[in-house]
Amino acid sequence: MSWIREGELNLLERISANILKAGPIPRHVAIIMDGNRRYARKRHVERQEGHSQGFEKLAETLRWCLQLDIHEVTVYAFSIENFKRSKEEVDGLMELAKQKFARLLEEQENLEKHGVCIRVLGDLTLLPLDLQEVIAKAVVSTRTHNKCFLNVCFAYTSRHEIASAVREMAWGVEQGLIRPSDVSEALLSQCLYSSHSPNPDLLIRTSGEVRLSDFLLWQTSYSCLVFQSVLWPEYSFWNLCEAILQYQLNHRSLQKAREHHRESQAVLQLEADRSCVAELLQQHHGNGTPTDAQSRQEALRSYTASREERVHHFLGALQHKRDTFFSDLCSPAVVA
Amino acid sequence: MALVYEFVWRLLHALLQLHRTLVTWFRSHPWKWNGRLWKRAIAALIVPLALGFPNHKKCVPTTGKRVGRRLRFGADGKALERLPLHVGLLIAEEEPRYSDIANLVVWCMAVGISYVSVYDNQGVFRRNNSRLMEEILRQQQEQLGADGSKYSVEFLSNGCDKQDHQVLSCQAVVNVLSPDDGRQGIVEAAQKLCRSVEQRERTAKDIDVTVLDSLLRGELSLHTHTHTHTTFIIFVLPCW
Repeated sequence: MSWIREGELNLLERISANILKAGPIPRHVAIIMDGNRRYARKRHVERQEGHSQGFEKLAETLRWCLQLDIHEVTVYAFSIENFKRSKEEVDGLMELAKQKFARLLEEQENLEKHGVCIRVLGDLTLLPLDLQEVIAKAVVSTRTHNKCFLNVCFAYTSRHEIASAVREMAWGVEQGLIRPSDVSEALLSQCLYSSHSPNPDLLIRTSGEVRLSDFLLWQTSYSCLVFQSVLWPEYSFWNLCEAILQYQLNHRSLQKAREHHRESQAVLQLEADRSCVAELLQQHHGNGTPTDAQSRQEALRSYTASREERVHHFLGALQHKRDTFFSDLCSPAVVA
Repeated sequence: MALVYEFVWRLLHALLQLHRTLVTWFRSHPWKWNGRLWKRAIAALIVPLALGFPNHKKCVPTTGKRVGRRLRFGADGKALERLPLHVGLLIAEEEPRYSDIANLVVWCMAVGISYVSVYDNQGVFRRNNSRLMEEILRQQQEQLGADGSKYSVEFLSNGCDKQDHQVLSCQAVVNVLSPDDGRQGIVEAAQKLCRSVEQRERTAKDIDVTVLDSLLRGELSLHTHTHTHTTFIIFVLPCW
């Protein structure tokens, strides 16, 4: 089963898609594809068959997303919590993932044609080495594609991701690249696995469960969350349209809340910089000589510039570290 | 053709907005509709069926409104198969009514929910913490009467006014949250951890989910939230 599903919408679907596209369309949609196991029970088929059908539905949904001008999709494929499932099911899911990522490598030409960039978000070190290698190859081979983006969360939980971002920042402090006072919401966001993506505008969870299950908790603070009762393998074009309609209805309040948040973040950063500058001036001048407003302003400007430079340098080092992880995984196979 | 699509889209959204406005109006003005049938119909719209409340008639005695209400709270709590430990109330209204929020908190306490977090995106409740506390205590007296003493409350409000915690007993904990407790709370915890790394009290490798979790739980007294409904926007309610 292919990752890229060719095909056209029927007339009614095309008209509906065009109507929806007259309004704001989410740039990035996140999906919790829940209900594969319940679908298998309902249809009296093997659990593994439910997961396979779920993957087929993903390929179909990606096609609909492209046709609706949604260029970035993030899916929750495997949670770290899923390792607690039966060994048989976990092994089955690992095998399915290996097959699908291997298949992805065979579809290079098609992926290039559509400009699909695949990213895998999660703690890959928790996975078997052979799966890590095939994932790394898929990620490295599509890295330069830039028309549409598929982020697969694998061996992922949001708390793990946030803790990992904090660990990376602490690594930056350890290496002397940044200072603890440089840690901010914006910096933490840039240290997450999802740092290359905008935050999702819309999050969809299927199967009627109303919870986030540790998925993109940081990134969905200003997203429209839609919970639908349909099981994932039965998801239809119309379900997707309904979710987009919900997003469009909430679009204005979302924009307003995001704007308010952006403004408060800017104020917070300015205050943090000011207090750092005040501390520095105190250290340099002692209590005796008060500094005038102009020199304080100048000190603030220079401090902000140096902080930005530190952060920029640190993010470059972090990206290099992450790139090296993937290229190291790829290299033994390249040599072979 | 694009103009036709846009016209249909605008029409569709106008109809959906109208539908939403009508539903909201019915929800917020149920008292204006006289008659038991209307009230029941509107209550059915408001109370999610998924909660599976049983028929109240059987357990509500007819002697005195307050006694009936009091017994009903307890009975409703017991009738629920599983009661959430912690309920998060995210108030999205621009001008929230303190009495409504206090009512909600008192209802949660009365059915036996141990932790209630109240959050609004503008931090209004955090700024007016004492007003909300007073309103909750007033509603508690009013709704639970003499039984109110059984439902004692502890108010927590993180941040600058920690010394103002009003601790009466530990039966129900009300936590007033603002955006500062959301992502910003995690950022502050991260700064703390980074400072301890800078001072060589720990290494970056020591930081994991458990370390961050215990730091955040210590600061926010957080437990997992439970909620219902189908479309949400979270607005930086503590995401941990």
